[in-house]
Amino acid sequence: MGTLVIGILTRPYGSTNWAFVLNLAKAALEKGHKVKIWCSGDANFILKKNQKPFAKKFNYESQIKELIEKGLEIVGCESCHLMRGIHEEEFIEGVPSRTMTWFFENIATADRVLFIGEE
Amino acid sequence: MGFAVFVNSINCVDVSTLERLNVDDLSIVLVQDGVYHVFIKDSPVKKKNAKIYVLKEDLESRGLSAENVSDAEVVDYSKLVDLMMGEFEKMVWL
Repeated sequence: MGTLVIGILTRPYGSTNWAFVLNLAKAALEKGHKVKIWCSGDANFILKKNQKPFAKKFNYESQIKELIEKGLEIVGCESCHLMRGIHEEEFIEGVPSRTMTWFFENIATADRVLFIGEE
Repeated sequence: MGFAVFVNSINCVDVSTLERLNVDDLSIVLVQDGVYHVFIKDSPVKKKNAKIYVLKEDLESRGLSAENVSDAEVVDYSKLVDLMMGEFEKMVWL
């Protein structure tokens, strides 16, 4: 089994990149791989807790919590989230704030890396 | 070395980047709205000497059927993970 690191800059809504990333992470975790996600730029907005489910169904927060329980490691970029006025204590439980050092360490040691830009 | 390019949209395929890409073992992975490229005869995606994959779940969520797909391999998330962790050593998101 291997380690997949995904970096993503895309905002949560207005694109289906996040639906793809979370489905991909789920499939990889279920196959026994380790998955790490680095949220950069506007991607940090997806990490805010207390998201109200849309139409009682669609909710990134619950998807992310479920994947964390399956072993996903997902972190927010410190400078990016602070720039956007989001503080670590506002993050979904189990999501820490990390600096670029975390990202470089993890892409250097990962088996596979995929970086998804903005839309 | 397996090199994979992910295409997730129908309109803003960075054709020039795709054209300038000079890789032996190239795969193009169509996801999200990128799956529509399979049904476009002169799509820039088809002009490359590349193996084309299309994500089954994204076809179906758009009411499209895997049976109507020719000249591309339909894969689900599970198979895509195998490709990514196996032959796709380098991956780029266009």
